[in-house]
Amino acid sequence: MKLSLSIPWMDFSAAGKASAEVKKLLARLGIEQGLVKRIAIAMYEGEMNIAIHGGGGTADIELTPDLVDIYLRDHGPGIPDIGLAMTEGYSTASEEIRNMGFGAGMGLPNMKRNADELYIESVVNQGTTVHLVFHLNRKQE
Amino acid sequence: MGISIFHSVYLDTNLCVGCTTCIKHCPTQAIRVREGKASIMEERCIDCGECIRVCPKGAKKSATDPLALMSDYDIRVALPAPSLYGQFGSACKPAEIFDALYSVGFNEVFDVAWGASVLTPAIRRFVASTQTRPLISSACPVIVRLIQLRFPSLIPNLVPFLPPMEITARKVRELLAQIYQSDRRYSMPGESGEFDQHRAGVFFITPCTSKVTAIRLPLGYKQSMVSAVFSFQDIFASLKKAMAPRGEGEAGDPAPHGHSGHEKFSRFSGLGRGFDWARSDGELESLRIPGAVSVDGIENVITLFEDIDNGKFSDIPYIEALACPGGCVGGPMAVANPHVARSTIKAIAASANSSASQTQAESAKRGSVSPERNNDSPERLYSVTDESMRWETEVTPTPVMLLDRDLTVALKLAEGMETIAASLPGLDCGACGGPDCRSLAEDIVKGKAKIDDCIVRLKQKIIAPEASMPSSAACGKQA
Repeated sequence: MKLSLSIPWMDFSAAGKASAEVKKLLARLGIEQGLVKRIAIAMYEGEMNIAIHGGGGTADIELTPDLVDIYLRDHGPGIPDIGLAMTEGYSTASEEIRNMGFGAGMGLPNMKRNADELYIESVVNQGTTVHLVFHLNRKQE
Repeated sequence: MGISIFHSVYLDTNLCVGCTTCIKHCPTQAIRVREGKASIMEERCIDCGECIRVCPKGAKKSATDPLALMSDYDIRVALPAPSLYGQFGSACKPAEIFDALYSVGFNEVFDVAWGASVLTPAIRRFVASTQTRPLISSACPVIVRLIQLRFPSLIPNLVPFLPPMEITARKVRELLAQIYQSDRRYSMPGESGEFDQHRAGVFFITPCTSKVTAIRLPLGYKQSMVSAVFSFQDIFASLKKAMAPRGEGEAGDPAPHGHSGHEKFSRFSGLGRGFDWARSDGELESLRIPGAVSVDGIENVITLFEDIDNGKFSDIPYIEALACPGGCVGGPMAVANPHVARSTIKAIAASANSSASQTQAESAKRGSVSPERNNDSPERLYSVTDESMRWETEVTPTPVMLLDRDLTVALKLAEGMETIAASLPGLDCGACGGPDCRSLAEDIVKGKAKIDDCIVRLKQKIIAPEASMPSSAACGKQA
């Protein structure tokens, strides 16, 4: 099944809503807690990235009995050096954003840590797509 | 499968007019209006009492026990929740309330503030001993149930201690046994005169709806030592009456009483910070853990937990989370204005705290502790180990939202749900009897509702039976 959610730009009060929606869906499906937590954390980081850097965007979630695919898309400035962006602590967030407690430069590395697979496609001035993959090896009770 | 079916919160169907106010305020979406009456989905109810608070008809109630139950017991011990001391205004001293409790028929009174005061250092030690952050207080049973239902990944963050009520009740049972078994002057009424716990009633007096459930279906322990739960609302009038003849300002030190209390327990006046647990921030102020955070009101708690669930706030050591606004003083069965009660509690705790430290200082000066003085220090007199306050059973997730145990089936149902939700107006008006469009979609796939329950859609159908709903009116949350 598919779920499509929009992520508004710079709306920090809405930040976390897409992640919360996905968590509710995963609860309906009975996905194991540890996995839900990993998905929520990665998803939230992605949401924040889109809200802060991407000028807003979308989250598309695809679920099969084996996989959860999450595509986080924005049409923002793009990432010139993905390798650098993947470095812990590297951040291009403005002083203002940092003062709000965001932009510690842990977004992408944190997403990578929590996802089973992570793919980034980015074109400068066109936008970025982060593809997160999670494997569902559901425990049967 | 372990999902409780007992709940304290229930509906008086005679009073319910099916207005849908409650369904909108339920934090777990546990209420539906069907055939003109609200109905509670038992497995989802966490006994927070929000519906009791908001019901304009007073149709939502809590199944506390009737005061008459006291007469079933030979020994009657009152366990007042700390918030009781905030119910009678700032001029009323704890000692007066103590006396009033004896007057209405209790033989013994033992403050639950004691439980809070012995739990405080135990929690402090626990926080220092573990890396888990943020730790979450388990004192409020609604919060524990909320976590089981909506935030199961936070179960390991709960501080695994019994609530002050239970810690106190256990100590009371222990003391009763000691007193009645060791001291020949006291015996149970009846043939043998032998002490029997079953004939000793331990009554928790509370403004809280969830405590009723907590004693029947305890979380983290097998059996509660509390016999019954009385609400502030039920006991308030008789306490007030019992207090009436007493003049003002004569409170303070215990005076001889003309009532039937046995008073084998020490009379406490020095619980200090334990009283403070009745209000939000109180637990934190007694714990004094730097950087700890307090949150009250169930919606505020949910917002914070949502963030923690997303991996935020792992730098916060401890969270005091209370379901009721302002803490326990804001309980659904409280009588006094919660804001006023909060301030009363603050004053009582501060004065009890200063008198307790004064007593300690005096004792230290004398170099010894006299037995009477020792009454002011229940922590020393009635010692309790950290281990004995720990949870004894596992607190497990309650997956009440699960559509089906088979993931393939659940996926199909979830997909159906999304399709239906997209075809609904997205107004979340509640007219169908569910809290929002998505919950109607959920009820439809579960076969508990039908699409025509949506009044907006039905109206469209009547006006323009040929045309289906325009797609532009689809749920705004959907792409």
